[in-house]
Amino acid sequence: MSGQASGCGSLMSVVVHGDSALNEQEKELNQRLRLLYPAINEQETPLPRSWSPKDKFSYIGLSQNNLRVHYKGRQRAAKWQLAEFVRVALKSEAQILSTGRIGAWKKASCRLIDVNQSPEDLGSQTSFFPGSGEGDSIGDRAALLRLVLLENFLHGEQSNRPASTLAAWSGPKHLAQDKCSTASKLFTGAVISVKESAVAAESDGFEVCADGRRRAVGGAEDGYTGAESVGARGLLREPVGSPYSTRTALHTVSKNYTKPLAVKESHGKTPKDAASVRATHPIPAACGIYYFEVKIVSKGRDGYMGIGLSAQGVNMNRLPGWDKQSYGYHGDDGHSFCSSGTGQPYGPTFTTGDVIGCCVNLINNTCFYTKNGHSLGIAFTDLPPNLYPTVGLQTPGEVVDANFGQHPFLFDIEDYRREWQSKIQTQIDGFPTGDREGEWQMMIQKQITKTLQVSVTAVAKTIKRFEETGIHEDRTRMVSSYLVHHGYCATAEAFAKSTDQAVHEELASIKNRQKIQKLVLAGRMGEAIETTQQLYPSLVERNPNLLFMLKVRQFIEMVNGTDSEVRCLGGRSPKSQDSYPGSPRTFSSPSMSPSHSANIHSLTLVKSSGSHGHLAGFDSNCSNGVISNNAPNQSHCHKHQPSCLTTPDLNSINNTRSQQPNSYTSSSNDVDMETDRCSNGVSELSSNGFLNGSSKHDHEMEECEAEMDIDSTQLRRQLCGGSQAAIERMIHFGRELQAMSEQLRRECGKNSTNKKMLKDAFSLLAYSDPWNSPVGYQLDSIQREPVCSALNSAILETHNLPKQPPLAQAMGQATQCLGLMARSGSGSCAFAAVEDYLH
Amino acid sequence: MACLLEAPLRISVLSEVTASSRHYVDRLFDPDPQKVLLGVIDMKNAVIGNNKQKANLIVLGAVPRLLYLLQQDSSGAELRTECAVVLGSLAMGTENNVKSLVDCHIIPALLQGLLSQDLKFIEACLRCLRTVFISTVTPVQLLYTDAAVIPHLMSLLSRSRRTQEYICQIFSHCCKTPDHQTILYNHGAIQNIAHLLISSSYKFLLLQVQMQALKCFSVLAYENPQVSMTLVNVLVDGELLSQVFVRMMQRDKPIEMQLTAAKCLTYMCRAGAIRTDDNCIVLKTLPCLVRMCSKERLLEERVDGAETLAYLIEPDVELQRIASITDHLIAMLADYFKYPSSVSAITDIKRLDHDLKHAHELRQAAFKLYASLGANDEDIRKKIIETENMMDRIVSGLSESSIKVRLAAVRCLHSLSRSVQQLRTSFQDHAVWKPLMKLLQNAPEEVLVMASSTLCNLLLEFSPSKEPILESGAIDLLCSLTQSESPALRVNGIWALMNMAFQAEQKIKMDILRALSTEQLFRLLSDPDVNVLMKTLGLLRNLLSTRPHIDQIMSSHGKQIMQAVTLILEGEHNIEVKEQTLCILANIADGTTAKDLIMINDDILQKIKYYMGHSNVKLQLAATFCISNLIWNEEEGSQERQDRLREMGFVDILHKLTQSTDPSLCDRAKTAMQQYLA
Repeated sequence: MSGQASGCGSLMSVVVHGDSALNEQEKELNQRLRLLYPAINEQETPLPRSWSPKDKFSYIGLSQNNLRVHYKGRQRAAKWQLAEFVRVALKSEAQILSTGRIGAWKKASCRLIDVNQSPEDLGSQTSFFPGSGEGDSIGDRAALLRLVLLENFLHGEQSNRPASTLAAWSGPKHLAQDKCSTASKLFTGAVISVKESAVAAESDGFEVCADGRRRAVGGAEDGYTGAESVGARGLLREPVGSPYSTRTALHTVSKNYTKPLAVKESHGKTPKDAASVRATHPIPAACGIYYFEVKIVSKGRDGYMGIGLSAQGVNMNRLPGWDKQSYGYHGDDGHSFCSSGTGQPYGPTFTTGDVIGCCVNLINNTCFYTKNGHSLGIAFTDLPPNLYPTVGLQTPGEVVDANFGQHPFLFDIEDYRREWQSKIQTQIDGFPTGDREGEWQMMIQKQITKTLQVSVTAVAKTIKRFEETGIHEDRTRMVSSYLVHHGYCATAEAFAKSTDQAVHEELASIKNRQKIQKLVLAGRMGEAIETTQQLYPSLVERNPNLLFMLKVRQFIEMVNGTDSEVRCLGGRSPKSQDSYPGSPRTFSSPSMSPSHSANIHSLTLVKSSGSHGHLAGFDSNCSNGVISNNAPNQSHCHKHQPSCLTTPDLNSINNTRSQQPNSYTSSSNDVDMETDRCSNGVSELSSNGFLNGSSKHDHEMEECEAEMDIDSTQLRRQLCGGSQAAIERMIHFGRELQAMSEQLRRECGKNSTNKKMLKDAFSLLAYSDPWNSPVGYQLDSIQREPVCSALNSAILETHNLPKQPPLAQAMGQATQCLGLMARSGSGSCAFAAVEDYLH
Repeated sequence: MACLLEAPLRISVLSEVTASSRHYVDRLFDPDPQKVLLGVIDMKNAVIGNNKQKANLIVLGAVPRLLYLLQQDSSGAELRTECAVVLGSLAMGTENNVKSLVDCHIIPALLQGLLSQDLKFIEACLRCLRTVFISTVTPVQLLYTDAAVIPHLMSLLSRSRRTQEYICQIFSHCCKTPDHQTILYNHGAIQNIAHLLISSSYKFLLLQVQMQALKCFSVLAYENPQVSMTLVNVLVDGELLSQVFVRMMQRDKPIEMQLTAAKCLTYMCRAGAIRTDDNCIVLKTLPCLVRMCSKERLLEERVDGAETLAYLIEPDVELQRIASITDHLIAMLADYFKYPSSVSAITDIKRLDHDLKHAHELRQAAFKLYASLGANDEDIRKKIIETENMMDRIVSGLSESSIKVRLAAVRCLHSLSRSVQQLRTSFQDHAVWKPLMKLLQNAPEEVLVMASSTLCNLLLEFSPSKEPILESGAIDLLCSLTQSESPALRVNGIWALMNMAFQAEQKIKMDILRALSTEQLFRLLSDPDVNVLMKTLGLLRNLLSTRPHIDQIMSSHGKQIMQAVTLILEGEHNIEVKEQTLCILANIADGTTAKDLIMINDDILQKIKYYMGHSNVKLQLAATFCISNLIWNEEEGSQERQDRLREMGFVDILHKLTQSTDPSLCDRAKTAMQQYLA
């Protein structure tokens, strides 16, 4: 379906990789998403399928098709990190030396070796920063060194890790040595000056440190600022000659500097190191229940990971949950953060290997998490709409993988969806519909045939829904007007009687309209126009545009060879023309409302056509005038396009066509052949069908179709049925039309619709085979429908009757309502589809 | 009595009302069968939904006549059916109605009726039987008195949807003991009922049948490994039964169905047929039961859910951990204590009544679940205790009128008392020992078992409650428990005494010995329950701890103790018992004067020698320990003892033991050898 292809931008990137396994994954993803969120139209509201490379903080790295998130921290400043490391290390060394605590110095170096793993281990740890490859070895080194330093701090040793120790430790290993020497060459100036200044600054720096620590007692933020100032001050002592001592560099570094210090001071909490990434799209409300999972691949150093949701525009330099419109569940303490810096005890902590799921219920706007497939209970209520799945990391080595449906979920989300689906269904079914409902439903049951009942109850249900959304109308009147509108006069009469409703239109008038509609749909435009002028003399006069439209259609029908005027010339008996296969479409409503979801109708209707009872029921209802005229053909049509029975909707027919291209071709062939060879398919079909009744249709029709298909390839369709006289008549008519168009323009001003209509119609003549030309669609009998409905509506309007039957309107409105609900963030629309009630 | 006083009044009222009812009864005796039939039909219409009318007809003796008509073949199918219908209607009334029906031997009559060929009549009989058996006043045994009944019922299962529904319902209400389970199982209940879980299209009826079949399985599987193992392997339409149950737990299924399916799986799991780490337990049953505890469910469902969940997770710490994090269960349970809520009291009486009726049930269910949750994991216990007013609730639960609540509260307390931290803090803060001690005075046995076992924990040496409990006369109470019939109580009593004696002062030890009396002590040493024996030995060991205590006790009871020790060492006991006994000997050997009791006893010394050469390292170690104590230098008379033991050949054994592969035994032997060398 087209919806898929355009619905997933990220899909393309996967395809580019050319990896068939990934393709499989995408297929699975599409399948799962379709299953989970059937109400979603991905063209309108795409679903999140990966993390967004755009909406992330720079410390975040993405890989594996933007599903894996890792913490990479600051990379640009890597060189400065090394400088910083050396500085701090030297400072410590100086401090130890100055205090004469040589013993402590030695002890520290021993501990260093004890505490830390072998350099290889550290190396593998650093390789968690996939961004820093071979080309970024300095960054690698810096990260490694910083890690050592941080680890040192973490173990509670404040200052005594001398750089030389580290050098000695890493010396024998090829890993660090030359990099270190390069680095020291690079930073010679800096290092030396740092060394100089460090000794001088030593006591000073520690004062501040102490200050920072003191503040840290008051609050982490404060402690942090305090620590930052230390860094800044230390930096001011950087050599002027250093190539990096520009103002901007200073700024970057000052931030950098503080990091280890801040870690030290606030026990590893450095909120400014937090970084988030969010998904490519917000969660559409029409999901109803939305779910994604995140697997913790590695908890990294401290496991400060947050999983949650955030609105657009939330600062990505934070963990989810800290800011307004941001919500998160954090791994280190298991707390939930609801737009606040302080968390609430919520669930267990989570760490490497755990799978955390986040489920957003868009019906009651709550959210709950799962851990390894177990629901942890509601975390947030009153969530705002349009939240993005978000994940935040804070310390090096943290890596998480998202699952937006690429893989089966651990938690049984389908079961949860089922619960809500049944809840909403019960709510709808239990919606009070007033006293009269039962009454008229019973009447209908008694008096109207099964087919009609199906449609009426279906629509009644829709109205119920429609009412639920706040609009009330007299249902009974709606039903009856619906019947009247579509010319089900017998049923309408019965219905009116049973419900004591006056029919607002005289039956004669209904019959007139039926007659005209029939002519139009049969392509006999000339007669149709004539009849209209006869019956409603003022109508076309007052409505020249309508007349123009009718005339243009007439021209097209002439080309087609179906218009009465051309037909006579072609020497065909008008009688035979009655069996126009499309005629039962008289029933299709003139409604032009695009709001009707064509998809929906055709689906349900195709389904309902499966039953034989349906067919039989229809035949027994022949008293409805129109139908009886064309019993055999009608069943033909019935078979292919049952939609015309129950939906008052044009679009549905269009849709059916796209679904069953065969049936369509055959019907257009019918038209064609009628004019050419009476002995062929159509006549045979009509007699057959007539004699045999509905029961044999299926079979017969298939045969006919096959036959006709062959015919169409053998026989070239000819303009105006191939008659020379007819062509002349057509050309003459075309000139009249041109004149009329000009006149119309003079009188009513320019009308682009009319102009295009005429141009398109005339274009037909430009092709040797108009049926297969780009404008050939006009010859389709289906194009008669809009004309027919426009005419019907116009007639009704002159009688002060509504253009659209209220019932159809109600259904359209219900469908619209669902769309509106989806857009306005009301999740229950996910479980309330109109089609569920149409059978 | 009030009843007697009212009697005249009742009779007068009765006479008034019965006048109109008598008419119905009279018609049952009409000679014309057609008129009788019409009379029965009229009666049927008269009694529907009218409890008073039902009572009247019963008083007027309609039941025997109806039964007579029902049993007569001559009555004709229609009349017999109508009779069964009327009887069924009467059974729908009050408990007294059912009682009088049962007294009139309605059950055999109806069971007899099942032999008929007429389906309608059978259905009517089954329906009536169902109604009678559902009532709590009907003795279930009546179904099993005739061995032919169950097979016949099984054969009727295939007759119609209704027979299926009624029979399943009868089974599920009449299966109360393992015997019943076995009877039903042996008659192929599982195969016959399994296929009712699926199939067929009558939607409404199907649901009823499904529900009843499901209930049947739940009662059949309850604590029954045989049934459970069979159930696991049953295939229905090519699908495992457990998978059918899992499907029935889907969230869109009726709540009752979810709950009952979860029960079935729980029972199967507890009976060992399904592993506790099976996905259908961990990911389906457990969450389903937690859902049943949520506020949205009815009170009955919440009770059922919590009790079943408590049962499911009781033995498995991993399930306890999962449950503790699922959907805030611990906080959710706190709601169970909020009935009747203050709102319900004001707003409507009906709701208040409803709440009151379930309040006890809710509380005990919550206590039970808390008990299971906190059984093994310290973190969970902490979380439970931190729940609002938890300790207060337990304390007040201990003194509630309802036994069920008291029992559940003690269970909960017992679980929580396994936490050292809680013993020292919240248990002390809330003085839980007070209601606990009160509870121990003349409580029913099951409560007593739980309470005494909690007391064991409270008497642990580090527990601050130990002192006040002792002061409130716990020793006598515990000593009396050791004389109980129930082994569980004896164990708990002696266990508590053992804990009490651990590192206690001399006075307490003497008090224990005095209260227990040596006769009782030795009786316990020959107790058939090995646990009792172990704990008694433990008590002896604790009593014989520090040197002055050893000497004092041995001087007064030495003879009996030595006798008992000999007896046990000679008897057929397991390794642990023997080890414990040898440890007691080692303790005795640690005394100053008590040593002599061993030294003069050649028999004992030979035994020690024997155990030093035993194949079990533990026993070797304990025996060596004993010898090492005897030959310890720096003590009076050590030289003589060393000499004597050398004579007996202990040195050679010790020498051999120094070569032992077991490091601790080797060490011990070396230390002993050093005593000789020094």
